[in-house]
Amino acid sequence: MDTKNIILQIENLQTQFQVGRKTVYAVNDVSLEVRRGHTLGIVGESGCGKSVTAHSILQLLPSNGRIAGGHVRFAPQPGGQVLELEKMSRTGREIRAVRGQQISMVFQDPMSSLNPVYTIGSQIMENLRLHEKISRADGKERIIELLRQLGIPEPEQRYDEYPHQFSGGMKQRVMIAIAMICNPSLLIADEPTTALDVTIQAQILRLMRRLRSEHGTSIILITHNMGIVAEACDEVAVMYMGRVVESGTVQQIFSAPRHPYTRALLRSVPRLDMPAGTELASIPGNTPDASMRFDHCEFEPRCACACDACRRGFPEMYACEPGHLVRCFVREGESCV
Amino acid sequence: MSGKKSKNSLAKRSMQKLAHNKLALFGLFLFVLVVLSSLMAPLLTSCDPHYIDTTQRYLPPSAEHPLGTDQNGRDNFARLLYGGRISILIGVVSSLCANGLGVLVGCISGYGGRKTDRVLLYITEIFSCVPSTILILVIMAFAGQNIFVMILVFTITGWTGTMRMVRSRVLSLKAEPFVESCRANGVSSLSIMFSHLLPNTLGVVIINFTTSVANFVLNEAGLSFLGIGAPKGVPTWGNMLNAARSLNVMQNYPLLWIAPGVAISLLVLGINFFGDGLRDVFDVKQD
Amino acid sequence: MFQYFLKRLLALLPKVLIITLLVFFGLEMIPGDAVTRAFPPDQLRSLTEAQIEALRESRGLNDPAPVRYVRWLGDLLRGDMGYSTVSGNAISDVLKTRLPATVELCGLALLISSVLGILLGCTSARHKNSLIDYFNTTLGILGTSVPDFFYGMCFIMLFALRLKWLPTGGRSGVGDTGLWGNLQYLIMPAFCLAIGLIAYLMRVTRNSMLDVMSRDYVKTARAKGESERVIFYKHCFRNGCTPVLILLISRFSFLVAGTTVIETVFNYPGMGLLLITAITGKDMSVAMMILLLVSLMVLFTSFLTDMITALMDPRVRFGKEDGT
Repeated sequence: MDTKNIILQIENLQTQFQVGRKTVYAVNDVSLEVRRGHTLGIVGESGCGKSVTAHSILQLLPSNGRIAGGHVRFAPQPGGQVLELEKMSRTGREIRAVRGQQISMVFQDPMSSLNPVYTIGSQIMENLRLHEKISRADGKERIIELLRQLGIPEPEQRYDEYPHQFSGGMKQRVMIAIAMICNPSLLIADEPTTALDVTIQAQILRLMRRLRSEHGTSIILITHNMGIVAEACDEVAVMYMGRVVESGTVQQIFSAPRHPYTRALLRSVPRLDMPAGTELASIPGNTPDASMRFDHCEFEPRCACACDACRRGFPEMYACEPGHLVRCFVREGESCV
Repeated sequence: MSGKKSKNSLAKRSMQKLAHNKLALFGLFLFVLVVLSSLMAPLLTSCDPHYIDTTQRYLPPSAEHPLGTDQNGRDNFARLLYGGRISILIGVVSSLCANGLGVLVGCISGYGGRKTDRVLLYITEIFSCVPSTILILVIMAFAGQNIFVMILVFTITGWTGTMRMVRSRVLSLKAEPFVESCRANGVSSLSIMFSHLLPNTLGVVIINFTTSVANFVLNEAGLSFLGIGAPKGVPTWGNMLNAARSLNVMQNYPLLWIAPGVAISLLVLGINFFGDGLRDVFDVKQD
Repeated sequence: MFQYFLKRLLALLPKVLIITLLVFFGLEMIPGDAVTRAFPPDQLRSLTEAQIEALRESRGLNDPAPVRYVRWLGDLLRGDMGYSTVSGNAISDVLKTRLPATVELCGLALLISSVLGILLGCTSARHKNSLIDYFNTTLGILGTSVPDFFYGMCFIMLFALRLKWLPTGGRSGVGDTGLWGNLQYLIMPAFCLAIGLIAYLMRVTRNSMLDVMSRDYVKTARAKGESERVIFYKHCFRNGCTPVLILLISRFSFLVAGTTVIETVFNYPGMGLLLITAITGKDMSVAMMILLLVSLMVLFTSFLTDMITALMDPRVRFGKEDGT
């Protein structure tokens, strides 16, 4: 593993859930790399396994979920040791030392992600004092400083307030403060703006971009919004049915999407330069049930350019240009919509 | 609408779910066992539960008297079987009445206007201020010992829980679009209430029904045990236990009180296990 | 907060009025009045109709009902609860000895049930669907299914009559001193009284804890790297126990109602036993007074519940009521 440039490497990750007697295959085969100081966007429809992938990194899965295979390698320092996160016990000391300190997470719904009975100051302090030996007074100073940086007005007063006294956008800032207080090297943001208003969304995204440039934090940004990817990410991985179907730099994906699914996703995003009257494309059919197992390409039933090969087996990832990987039988130059 | 078919399949699915719940089935078995044995009392024993024979007091178990005889020489086994009839009758009838009243008031309160709702809710609040057991005791003392009075008192004091549940269910259903569309299509209020809203509260009501049967059986036993429930001499489980309140009986003739105690416990246990299973099936949260 | 307090206190008043009215009419329904009750029957017969009427007039018994009601309320506030129709004793005097006994009993039962109920509920929640969980659940159903007096009788049989560890009943005998001397009478009745509540609290605690454990903020705590134990006790326990505590207090009326049966089984001279003897002896004025007293106690605990909820939950504390 190239620890100088890569901070996190996921290889062939598989995650499953046991629901009654059924097994749900949420993540089938995901391989990703997060570059140091970059933002990787993971996009896909709801239920494609992007959120489960993110939770699998820190093993924050519900008790009926488990990592069934693959590797999650994390290199906190360039040239330093490589931690194999998937091998650690999910409640053990090792992974708890990583959580919150080196890798932290921001969740989708800031309304319910804060404990209603504690002040926001004490909830940030909890993370800080858990991982660093610091006096309460010094910690408070540092937290207030961070809150100020994050654009929370009058942080000294708000420190002692309760979550219900904060608006949604402000709560998400508090969540980011909890995540950032220990200066983690990797921040995982699981749809951090989905539950917020559009104007607040832009503020939060700007904030995350600033954090990356100021602290050098690498970010995994999970979203279903192609617009956010274009705005905030360096690299993109497109997921469908628990697999990465295409990955590359934002430039590569947006200017020359290869996978039919990526193309369809991009076509469904409204743009200002569209001629008036253009209908937005939608992808025919629905995402199949995650407990179904396929013996061939999962996108075939909804794919406009499926061929015989697609009905016979799974395509492999191949590099159509350096750094741009596609999982599809339809190669470059072949005709397709 | 395809309501009929989906309702049937829902009922079928519920039944299947219930059939998988072993504890619920065990509960049903216990309940049916106790009910059947008291219904078939004349087949199981030839003794008359009222027949007093002072020469045959406190007899130990024998072939003729499987559970011995009590302080008046009556056959304990016969009293146990026949006593079940009245205990179960009181439990089931009171529960039917109380839940019926609860459903009625709950529907009116939930579906009626704000004012009606407030008044009715206030009345239930007053009712829940007074601990029902104590209210029952006082009313029984005024009205005298009588099985019908008992059922009436249980009904009066036991309807508020169902009323609250039905009301909140109806209130939340009322906000659903399908009620709006019914009204837009000119369906009358009464018909909306009875054919659209009421069936949706059925799960809650059935569960409440089972728990209140259990509660009323326990209440009857408690009251009769205290000597202010069913009239003296009527064989109910509570009365049988009441007879064993003296330390002499308690120590020397344990069969006289353990038998009805175990019978009550088995019946209530069966109902509770079954109700628990129903709760899982209907997916109702208990609080 | 203070506004909230006042609002709740004011909301109590109409309920108090209605309950006192009901009890007043209940008392009115008892045959006879204060005059006929004041004299033994033979002396009463020697008095002429006019004499009785004069006595009534002088005591204000011919005033219209609302006037009498207000006067009666005033008497109540001064602690005058009237006299027993059977023994002629002042009811307040009788209650003075009986009430503390019942309070002691209920207090111990409350303590036992909250400690055991919450403890068992928490272990069930932490080990959901394990053997311990199933065992607890079954035990809980058993606890609510067996009549409490039957437990009481079994306990007396086992611990008092067979093993002779504890007295069969009563409150304190000759030569009983010290903590144990008093406690030995309380253990069995308090535990019997507690059983139903233990089962109930266990169930509620388990559900509440499971609910809280699936909340997003628990995931946040986990993402911070907190250990499971700290997560459970710091983040789940407080949130999960607030509703349990409230339900505990709201169940207070059941506890008081349970004393009637339990005190009878153990022959424990408290208010419950007093009520039963009053009812069987047709001493209705005593029974109605106890009904009034208990109802007011329940009203007060419901008020207390609201206050404690407000104190525990910052959302209510800072005046952000959701109106439910």
